[in-house]
Amino acid sequence: MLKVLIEASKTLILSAIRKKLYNTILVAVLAPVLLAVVLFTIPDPSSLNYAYIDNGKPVFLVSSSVVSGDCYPATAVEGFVGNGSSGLSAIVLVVKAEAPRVLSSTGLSKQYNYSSGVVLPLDLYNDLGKPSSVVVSINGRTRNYTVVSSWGSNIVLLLDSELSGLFGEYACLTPRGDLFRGFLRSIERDLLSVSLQWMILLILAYSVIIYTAHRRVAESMRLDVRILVESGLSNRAAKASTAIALIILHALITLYISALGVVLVYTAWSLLGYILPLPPPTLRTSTLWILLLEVLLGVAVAYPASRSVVD
Amino acid sequence: MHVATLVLLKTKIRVVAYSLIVLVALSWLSLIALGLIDSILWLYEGVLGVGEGLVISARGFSPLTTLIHRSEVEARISNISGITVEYYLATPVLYGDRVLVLRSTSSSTISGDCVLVGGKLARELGVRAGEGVLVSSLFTSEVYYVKVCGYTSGYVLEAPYDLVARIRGVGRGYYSYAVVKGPSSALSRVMEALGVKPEEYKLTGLVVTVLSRISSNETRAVVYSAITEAYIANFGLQRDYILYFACGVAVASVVGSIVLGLDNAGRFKNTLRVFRELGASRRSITTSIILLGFTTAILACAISLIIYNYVRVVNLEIMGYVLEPRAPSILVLLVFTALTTLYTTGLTIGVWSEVE
Repeated sequence: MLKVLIEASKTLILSAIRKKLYNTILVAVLAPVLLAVVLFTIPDPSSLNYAYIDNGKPVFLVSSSVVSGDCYPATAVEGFVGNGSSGLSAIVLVVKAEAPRVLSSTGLSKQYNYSSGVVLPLDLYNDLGKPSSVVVSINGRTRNYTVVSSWGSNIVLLLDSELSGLFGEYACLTPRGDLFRGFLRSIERDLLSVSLQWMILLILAYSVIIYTAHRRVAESMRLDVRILVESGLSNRAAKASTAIALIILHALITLYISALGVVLVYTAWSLLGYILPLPPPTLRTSTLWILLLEVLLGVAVAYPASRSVVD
Repeated sequence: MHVATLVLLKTKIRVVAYSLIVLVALSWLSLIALGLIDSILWLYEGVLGVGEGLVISARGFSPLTTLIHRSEVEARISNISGITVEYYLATPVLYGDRVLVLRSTSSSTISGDCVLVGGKLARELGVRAGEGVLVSSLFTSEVYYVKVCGYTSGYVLEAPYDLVARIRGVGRGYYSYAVVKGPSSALSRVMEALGVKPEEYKLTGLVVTVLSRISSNETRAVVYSAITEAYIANFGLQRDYILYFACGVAVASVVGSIVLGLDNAGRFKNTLRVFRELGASRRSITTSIILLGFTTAILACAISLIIYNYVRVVNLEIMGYVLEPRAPSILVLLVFTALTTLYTTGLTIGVWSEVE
């Protein structure tokens, strides 16, 4: 039975090729396959040149989860900072970390060797008379800390590796390059996500056109199918072999157009490369999933389309 | 001839209706593609909330990273009457690892460390008025405390100039861009003062002048029709290339309509043969089919345009900011022409091969 099906399908495929019936499927499949390849080969951010990014000083950021770079447990609380004679309430960012490590990375101090210390906002530092040490009260606990330096921020940075308590956040020293890459990755994700939504809608709309194309091809093969039936092929086997022939034609054409799309994208990139500094296109696995979806769509419509070939 | 078209329409209404639905879907998807790709060209306009006027900015990576000095702009345009100039300082800030835009506001309702948060942004970040948040500066690398004092429109944070300047790490007088508003005659004088020939540009809607320094006290002005266009040009991406790409995607997505036309001709086959038996010429049959195809395609275009304007299914969201899809009328016309031509061509080829 299988051998008969294979032979019948082979005959129908050869007949379709001889009659150039594949053109209809080719036009129907062209848009969703070609656009999937083109839209999902946008350049990968990792292929971009980051040489122009100033990687000097890492960015100090506070996040609820660990971000790239060096991260330490931290919490921001309202506290009181004073030097005995005067004091002010301020927002204190408490970071559980060895002070020299954070201070040298941020460039706030290169030669500080103690395990704890505070960095004051410049205006507070001046208001307190540029003290060498301050009393910091947070969550009902008061302790004396050495003032390491001042900074342009409006919060007090308290570094202490021996503090215990609930640190709900993380203070991270993240290289600028990582942030820039993350930013570009996020844009890439946004673009690919919207492309995927649009592609799915397009494939759905094209399912009707692909069904139409399959039916048209199947109807053009009606005479060949009748000859096969008259040669002894059962009606059921005739329908199945027509469906198999349509599926194989559909899969081959999908493969052909996707290959053509890849060649087109790379040719366009190399030609445009003469006038624009474009990063290279990137082939993604998501393209393969869409192509697979496209082939499965062909499988889904092939049998209903081949029903009418045998009356 | 029109009688034949009406007969076809009456006898094959189901075929026409089914084709109409598919054509509407293709045309609508094509318009979405066009609108989404074109909306990228208006990213900064949307984020910064700039809709009209003459924008003066400086050359750089983006309008969020460049700086102009107020005195330098004023030195050129202060003697021009009939204009209002608004200066804005905008900078990217990090909330966690998320990039947000912080912009200066002239509103006197906030001061000190207060910020206004866009309504949608506040909901996404989960912050309410009265709460404090920590944001980091990409320029000073430091972390700052800001207090949410209220809400604003757009997808931005707004703060007093001094706070934005502190976070941006610049002294007083530095701004990201200036927006000059006034009658076109006054804007012409502004452009002349900046060193541009105003007669070369339409001074309606939005005009962007990017100043690039060529010596210590000399600048050269380049004019663009949009802020995003001015900055993506630095990466070699010209507005025209993006529009060509948009057109390519939009036209490619309606290619399938030719198959629909071919199939429709096959379904009209028997009726057309009757017409032929009744003595209708092949030419008149083709003309009536073209008329039917043309009417169906035009109707599909009109319906898709209405759906496109009122139904938003696919939105392009970049860094949380939802870009408003735009489709220039000339490109919409191109899509409709492609759809109509392809569908009618399919019908015509089908009729010529089906009817002897």
